[in-house]
Amino acid sequence: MTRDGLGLLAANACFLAAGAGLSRPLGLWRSPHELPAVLAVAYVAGVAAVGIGATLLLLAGLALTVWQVLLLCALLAAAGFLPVSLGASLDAPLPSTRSVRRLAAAVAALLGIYLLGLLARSWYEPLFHWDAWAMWTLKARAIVLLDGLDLRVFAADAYRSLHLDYPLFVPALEAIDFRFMGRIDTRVVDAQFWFLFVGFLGAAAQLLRDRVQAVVLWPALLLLGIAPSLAIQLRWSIADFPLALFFGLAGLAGWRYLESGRAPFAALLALFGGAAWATKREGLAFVVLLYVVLLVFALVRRAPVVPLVLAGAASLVAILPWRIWVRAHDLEPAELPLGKAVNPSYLLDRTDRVGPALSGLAEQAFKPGWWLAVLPLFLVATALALRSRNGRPLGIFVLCLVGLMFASLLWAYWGDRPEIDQHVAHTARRVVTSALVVSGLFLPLLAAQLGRHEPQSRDLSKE
Amino acid sequence: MIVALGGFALAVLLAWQVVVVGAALLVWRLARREAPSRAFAFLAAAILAAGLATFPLQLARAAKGARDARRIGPRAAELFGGAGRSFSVNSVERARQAIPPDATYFLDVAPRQGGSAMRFWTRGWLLPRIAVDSPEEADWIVSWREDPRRLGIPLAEVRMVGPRTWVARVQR
Repeated sequence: MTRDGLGLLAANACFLAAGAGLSRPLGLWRSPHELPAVLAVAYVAGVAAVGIGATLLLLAGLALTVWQVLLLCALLAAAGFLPVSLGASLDAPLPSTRSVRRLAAAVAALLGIYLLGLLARSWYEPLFHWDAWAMWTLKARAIVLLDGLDLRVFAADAYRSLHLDYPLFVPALEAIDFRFMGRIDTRVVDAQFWFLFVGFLGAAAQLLRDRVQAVVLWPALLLLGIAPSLAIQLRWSIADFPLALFFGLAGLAGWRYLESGRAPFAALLALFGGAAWATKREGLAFVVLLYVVLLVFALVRRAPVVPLVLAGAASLVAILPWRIWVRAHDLEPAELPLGKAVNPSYLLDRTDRVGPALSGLAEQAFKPGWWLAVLPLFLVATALALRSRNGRPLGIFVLCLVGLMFASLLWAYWGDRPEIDQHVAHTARRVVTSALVVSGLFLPLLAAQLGRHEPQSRDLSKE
Repeated sequence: MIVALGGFALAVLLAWQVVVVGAALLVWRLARREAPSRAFAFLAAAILAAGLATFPLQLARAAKGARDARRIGPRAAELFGGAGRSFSVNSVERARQAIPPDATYFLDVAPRQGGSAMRFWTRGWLLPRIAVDSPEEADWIVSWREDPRRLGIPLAEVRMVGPRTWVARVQR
């Protein structure tokens, strides 16, 4: 197990190196001493880029051997030596008093202790969620044991029930971990999701600290980090979890682009949005909605839309080749055609599904045993933001985004075929995750908008 | 969530709320110093209180999860996903030992409780052996709760590898 753990660590060190290199031309850092301040963003960017790259390598017929992965990571890391940069992205952290810094350190320490507890659990816990052993990790095993996308599995009728049309980001990532372990250890591989979770929380802190005061930033990260639903889904090792993390960061990067107009945030949006697309089919609707909301806001605020369009096109690279492969191998599921799902008479005949879907989604999203008070506090913060001049644009943006995400879930349940009560009971707790993660990430940003005021003449950092 | 707690844990959690209230008041004070907005201070305090309120409970759950998981041996951990689902994971393992890694097999599973789990588990566990869609294409048959001889194809050998689980080599 120790050897497998070291293999997993080595794989993640490669993701970090890839992300560190890639994030320099993106404008996250210029000189090496700036790198620690964006290390978590770089790590998650590395996981996103290597995961997308690994999917493309599989489609190109490669087997994701250790050497192929090392070469991919080396190429991405080498981007750090390119003499180009999209320009500066993050400003210095907001100044705070010594008392606030102490409080933030204490809250961060509590979060760290909790995360160590989760690591110990992830390290030893076997795969037990059906979707993990019967689909996501099974595909990773197949990639390793059959040296790539063997059509006898990935395009065969006998394996069709594995949802062969689902994107390959998670199987590819786990296959890389297995390669670095030198064997298939389905126990230790759980910890991959833990690394991503810690990277996500760190990335959120680094993307927010120049906009959110530490007095609210770290409590908000604690609230989101210890939400029981995320700890439970971390155990499940299924794709809804990384989808929510990538999508949450994509939303944050998107907003940062809107309010600052800085190109590096559009690049991060492209990367995280692409990773969300490449992780799970539900990501498709969410990422499309995010881009639509961003484009509308950019037009209203007269912000440049070209970087957003370019970001959307770049995100497509993460999923388009896979969709073409799925279509070419006739793996499209026999699901409800889009034409029918938007047909008013079809939907009007099924209005009895709306009530159970709505109540199921609301029940899961507000469940304190799963999400603590993330959504109620988000709604209070949004309501307060909408009443203030500073916070109104952000309030409208995030309300539109989260509202449309819930609307898309409701529409999916409404038009879908499975018996509604059972369908909602089985899936609602998972599918609300992305919307709740977005709510949790924007909560400190909304609070910070309320706390914004004219710069004071005194320097708080010297107190 | 609360009702499932024992007396001691509940007492700790209730005592912890004193810390939560104190920390929230501290944050309120600090936030008021950072910004004049009461709404900002209220949110900062409420967010911290919400995050801290169940912290000992979440930490205890994580620790208990780690302790419980650590007791599971390596072999049991490998078989954990399929265990306890109305079929024998050991039978599937014996089928894996019987079938050469480069062979194909047809999975003949009766429509009974556990059949779906048996299908998914076997397809993963038998890799790199490849499942095929019809017995005629297969080198081997793996059969659960059905005798493979009923498929009507010539079989070279039929072995029972576990409770109502057979492995048969197709005669070529």
